[in-house]
Amino acid sequence: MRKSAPLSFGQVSVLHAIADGNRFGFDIIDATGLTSGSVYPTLDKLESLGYLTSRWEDAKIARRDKRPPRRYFDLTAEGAAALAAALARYKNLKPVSLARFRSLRAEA
Amino acid sequence: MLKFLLAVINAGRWLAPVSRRKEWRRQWRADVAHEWRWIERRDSGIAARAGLIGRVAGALRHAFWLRMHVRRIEMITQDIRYGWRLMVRKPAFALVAVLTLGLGIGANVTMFSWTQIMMQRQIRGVRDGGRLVALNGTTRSRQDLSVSYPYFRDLRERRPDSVEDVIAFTLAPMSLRANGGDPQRTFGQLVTGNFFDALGVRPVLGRAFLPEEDTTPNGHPVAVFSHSFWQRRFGGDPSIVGRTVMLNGVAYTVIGIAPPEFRGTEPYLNLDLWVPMAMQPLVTSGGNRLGVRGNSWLEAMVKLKPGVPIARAQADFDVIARNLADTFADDKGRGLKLSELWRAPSSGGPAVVAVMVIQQSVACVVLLIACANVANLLLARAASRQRETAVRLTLGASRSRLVQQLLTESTLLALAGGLCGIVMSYWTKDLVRLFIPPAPLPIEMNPTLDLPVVVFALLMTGASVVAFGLVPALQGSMSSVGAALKDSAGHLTASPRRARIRQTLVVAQVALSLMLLVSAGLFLRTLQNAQALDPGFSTRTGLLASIDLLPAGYDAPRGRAFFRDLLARVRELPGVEAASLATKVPLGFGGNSETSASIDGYTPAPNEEISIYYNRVGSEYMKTMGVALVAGHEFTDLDTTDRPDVVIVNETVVKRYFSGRGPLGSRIRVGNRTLQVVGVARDGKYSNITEAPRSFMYMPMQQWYRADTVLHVRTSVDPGTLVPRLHEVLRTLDSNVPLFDVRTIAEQLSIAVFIQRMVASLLGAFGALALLLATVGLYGVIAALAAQRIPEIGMRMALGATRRDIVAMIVRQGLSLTLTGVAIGLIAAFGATRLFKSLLVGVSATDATSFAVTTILLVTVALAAAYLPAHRAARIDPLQALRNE
Repeated sequence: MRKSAPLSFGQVSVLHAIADGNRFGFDIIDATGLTSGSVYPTLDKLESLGYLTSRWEDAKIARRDKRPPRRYFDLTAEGAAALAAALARYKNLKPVSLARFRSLRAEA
Repeated sequence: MLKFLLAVINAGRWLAPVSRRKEWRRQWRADVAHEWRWIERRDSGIAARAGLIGRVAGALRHAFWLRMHVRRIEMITQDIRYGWRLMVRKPAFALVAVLTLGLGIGANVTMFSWTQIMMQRQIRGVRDGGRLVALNGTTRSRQDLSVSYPYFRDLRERRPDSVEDVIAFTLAPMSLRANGGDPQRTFGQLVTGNFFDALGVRPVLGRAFLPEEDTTPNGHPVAVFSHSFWQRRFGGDPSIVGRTVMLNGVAYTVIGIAPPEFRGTEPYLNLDLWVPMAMQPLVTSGGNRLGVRGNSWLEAMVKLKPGVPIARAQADFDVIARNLADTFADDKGRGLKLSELWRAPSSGGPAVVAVMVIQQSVACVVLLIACANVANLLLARAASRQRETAVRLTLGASRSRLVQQLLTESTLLALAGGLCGIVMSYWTKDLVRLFIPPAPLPIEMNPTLDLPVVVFALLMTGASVVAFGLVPALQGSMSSVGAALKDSAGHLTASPRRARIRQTLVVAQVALSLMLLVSAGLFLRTLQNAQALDPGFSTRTGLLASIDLLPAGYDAPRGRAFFRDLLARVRELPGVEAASLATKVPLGFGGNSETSASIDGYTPAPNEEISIYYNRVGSEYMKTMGVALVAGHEFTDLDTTDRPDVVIVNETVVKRYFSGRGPLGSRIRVGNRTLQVVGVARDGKYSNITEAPRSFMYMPMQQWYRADTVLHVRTSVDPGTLVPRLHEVLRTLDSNVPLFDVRTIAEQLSIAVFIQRMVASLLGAFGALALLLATVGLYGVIAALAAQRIPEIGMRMALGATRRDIVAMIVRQGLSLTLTGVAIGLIAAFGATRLFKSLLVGVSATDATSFAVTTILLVTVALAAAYLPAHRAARIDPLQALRNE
């Protein structure tokens, strides 16, 4: 599988959210603001790329909550490196003045 | 509400692929349950609950995504890796399978690359070639006629809106002299002034013709050279543009060099140069034809406007043709027909199409046989993989999953085979040149492995995956789990069903190869017969050599005198038995001229056109060519212009038009001349060796002068020794007149049977290939059957069977398979061979000898293939065999 393909913004957001401590699917949805229909496939994709690992929650904790164990995700070393690289790329985008375009839209 | 959401997820799991279904359901149930608890605990409002519903909808999207991606990527890469490992682990198996498929696919690709040049669907190097269609003149009975120049002019001037332009051209051999060197024979085209512009061909150097260069007869001696001729003859010297060269003794200015891709509009030919149509009187013999409406000698093409269907242009032209037919007496009864280029009569017509169909279908049959072989190999391997299959099924693999994996393996094999096939056809594609007839024309056949050919190879590869992979895959995935796992002994017997499939495949192989062999046999006999066939003239040692007086500037009276002197001198040469002239060589490539005629004393039926093929010949032609005269006498040197016109007709003319009358002394009218019949010649073959008897007449060359003729010499010595002497004679008569295209009559005759030779060679080669493949298949199946029967053989031997009994038993099994195949094959061959009846010569499509000989050949080879495993099986140690049981 190719790992050199640059990550999409959605993928970076998901990696970022996990690195930020959000380990479960719904937490990641809340943290990124993406829909569930894109977050879950992204998680699977990132896992197949080797950037994430997933495990099932400890059964004891789940039983205490009277619900099935959830799946939670962790960054791998590669995932961390990919996230760092992606964030560095975003940092390269210097702030630009957009006032001109806003006024354009007003005219239209 | 939680229950509802969980039910949605429960139902949605069917969207997810099998391999991820459990995991998906577990993940989503847990996440939804957890979220629900949170919502309840915090007593969130309706918005949070609605949000959860939205997220569950996302779960379905997730499941669908899994189906689309996970299965594809993970499984297929896994299957490919697994298949690759299998191939590497058993290289012999892979090698045999890939080579077999390579042979099959390669044969198809090579044939397709040949078919492509034959089809010539587009003329190379032109813009919008797809819009070009051929235009032919028609009469009530013919659809393949040329058009006259005035007719072309009218068509072009009145061309309908559906048509962009009309061009006309004709092949014109010319003698070129540059820088004071020796004259050289070149092949060019006389083309109308709009030729290059209409075709969208831009010269790479210089310019194309201007419209005004094609107006006044002989007014603008200019020429465009082809790129390859420029390279070949002038070393690509750019200063040639603007210089003058001598063409047929007239100075022409070279104005341009055509781009390398453009080779002219004649199929299969690579032309040297083009000159404007208005130069015709100086280029071809027979005077100025540009104003003669009754003389049809031009090929024409029409460029349709974009998006116009051929039928619409045809309808538009029909109106114009009817108008012309009403206006001009010479065009009475004439129409015109548009046809796609590859179907046009000038592309070779039905014979070429037949050859294309034959070669392509034969290649398909070979591929089928190859596929049957590989399918057999795969089935054999499936037997040895039975336990693997059973284990995987037990561990929960679905059947479709196994089929997919087996098909992936087949696809890998097929792709390797396809690659192998492309490499093979890269090596074999140029073999087509072996079939180029030795005609005096710049014939070019350069099959290329271009995009359409590669696409075709891919299609064939895909088709063969289905052909050889599907049945073994379905079969291989079907395994009785219990039986396979229980079977503790080392031998896993093939299931009866699998054995039956393998036997069916072998029967099919035998049948198919017999079909090919029978066809090959018929064509070999045809070739034999065609070579032995009586063409109506003697094929003993003789020489043909072409002469053209036009370039040397002869007019008709001087030309007649020259030919008279030439014949007198040649006849004096030692070793020459007879010599004569004729404009057409029998069974030549150039076709034959025909003329309409009326015959005194014969009233044609309404709508009947009397059309007779003819040749202009010199004195003693019949003697030279060994054509027997049934009555009368042949032309002498006395039959000149100051004597009454005479003619010799053949037996068919007598039979058809002189029934019950003595033909000698009768009159035939051709144009405004009246010819008296002075002789009757035996029927012969004139255009091709398979033609039916046709009306033919000979007219004396001295009375019907043409500047270009072929010298015919009958020799009593090796013709080769005579060639220098002939050149010498020509030199002493006029050093400006060269002899060219010197060939023996035997060489000339090989042209006549070239289609038969080509088909016979192809079928012979493919038949041998098919036989080889079928033999390998039969051997494999018999070997497997014998191995399966080893315990039984041991038992029989223990009970007193001799080795000979065992051999007989196994061979009998092989024989019964073979004979079943033979029976089916004979029936199939019986049906198939009548399809190419028209190409056969002197042998019926159900020729008993061909059928019998090939059947015996096949059965013999099959017996040998069955004997080997039988012999091996009979040598086993019965004790050993029984102990294994």
